Amino acid sequence: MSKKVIFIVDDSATMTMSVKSNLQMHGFEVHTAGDGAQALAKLKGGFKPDLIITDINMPNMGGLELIKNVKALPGFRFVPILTLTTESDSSKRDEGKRLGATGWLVKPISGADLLKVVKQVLPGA
Amino acid sequence: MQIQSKPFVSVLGATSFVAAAALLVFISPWLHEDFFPYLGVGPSWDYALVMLTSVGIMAVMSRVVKAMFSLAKFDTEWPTASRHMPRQQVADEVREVAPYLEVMTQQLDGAVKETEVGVMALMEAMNAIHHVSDLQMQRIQDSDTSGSALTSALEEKVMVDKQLAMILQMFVDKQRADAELNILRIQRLREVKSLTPLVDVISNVARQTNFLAINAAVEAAHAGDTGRGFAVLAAEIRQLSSRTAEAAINISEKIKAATEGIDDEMRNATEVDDRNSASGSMQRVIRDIDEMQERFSAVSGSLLGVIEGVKTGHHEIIMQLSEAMGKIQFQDVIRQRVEQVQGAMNELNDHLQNMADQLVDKPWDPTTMVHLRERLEQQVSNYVMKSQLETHQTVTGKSADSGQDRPSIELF
Repeated sequence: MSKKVIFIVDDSATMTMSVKSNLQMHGFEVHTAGDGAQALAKLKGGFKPDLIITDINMPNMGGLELIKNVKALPGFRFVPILTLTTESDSSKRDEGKRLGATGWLVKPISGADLLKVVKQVLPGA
Repeated sequence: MQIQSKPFVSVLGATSFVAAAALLVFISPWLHEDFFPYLGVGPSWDYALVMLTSVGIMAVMSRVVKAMFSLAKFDTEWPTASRHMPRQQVADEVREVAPYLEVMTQQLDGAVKETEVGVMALMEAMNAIHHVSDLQMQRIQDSDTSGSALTSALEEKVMVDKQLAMILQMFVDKQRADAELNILRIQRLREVKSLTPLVDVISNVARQTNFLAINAAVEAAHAGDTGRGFAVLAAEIRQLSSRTAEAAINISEKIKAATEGIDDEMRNATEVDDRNSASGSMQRVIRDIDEMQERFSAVSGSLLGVIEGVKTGHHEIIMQLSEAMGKIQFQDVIRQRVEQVQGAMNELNDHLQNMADQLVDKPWDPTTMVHLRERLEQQVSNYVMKSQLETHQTVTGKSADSGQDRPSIELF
């Protein structure tokens, strides 16, 4: 069975490495991008992950805008997108939900909790 | 408030004296004509008390005048002993806040970068631990595979050996049974040999009967015609004894033929039986094979236990490393909080520079000035974390609207 592919988008190098290492330990293939603009360019270039995990507050393009753009791409309507952010503003969370996010995770998140959520949104993981 | 300049003190002293003198003139008649006589104070004491009272009034008046001067916002420069920092100097000092804050901002930047470097190194080390554990796991799985193959092969061989041993045992048992039957047969044949003396007896009887028949024939011949019948009978008896003797010789020969070599055969059969009983060692071989298999199973079981233990340990390592990776996310939280503080420090610097400008260079327009208190409140809109709002609320004593508590993990 091929590995599930997860795409992490975050401007924090430590955050990216932490989540990537955690998921790789559990058998996932992980790709990363440093902001929304980089991520969108990669997706438009043909890369199609099974799951996207994105921060909200990032330079160049934030997470909410990324979600909106990704959902508009052909073939990405049903790709699950989780946010992983320190953002506590309820209005932004509601907007994320409205734009099509699958879930909202607040940093810091434990390794076990992250894995549990990923397996929940990725059938067969 | 201590005012040290001489001209000022002179003016103050003169003013106090005048005020005191006026007061004394005003209340003097009442003092001399009513108050002192009422107290029973004589003329000499009268004047002394007036002097003392004058000094006291002067001291009080000087204090009152001092207070009035301080309230009047006295801002004239006194080159020799000014009590306030000059405006230009204040403005210069405030402008020095900019590089001071810049240094502190860079210090915070450096601190955040150091935590980032440290955390990255820590994660590299944790990944290395995971890699080593993975390699160990791989080696254990290879051993497990080889061990399982070896166990299967050995079990198969043991089964084949046991079957072979059982077949051999059956053969040996059959051989033994045949040997026993053989011995039995030989023993029966030996008993036939014991008939030989009986045959001798028969031969003797036949010989003696023959002698008797001969004697009978002789007597019959002596008897003449009356003994003719007896002579015939004697002749018959002689024939009978002759046939009996022949039969006895025949039987004896046949017994001899049958039992010839029987002793050798018996010896051989006994030796074969001994050999068969000696290889009840086949039973021992089967037992040894069983014991070997049991020991091997025990060792295999023990090795499987070790392998399972390593697998469990590997899984536990992954879980613990995974948890540690989650805890390391504190660094990103710290970074964001520090960045917000750096932004606030920059804003404070802008505010102070603006104040310095308005102190000496630019006209002060209170309508356009944003007070620091307002800037502090505006910081609330820059917060992203609940903890930042809570800190603000704790320090300012104001309730910051943190909104409804939402779960940290929410799937839509």
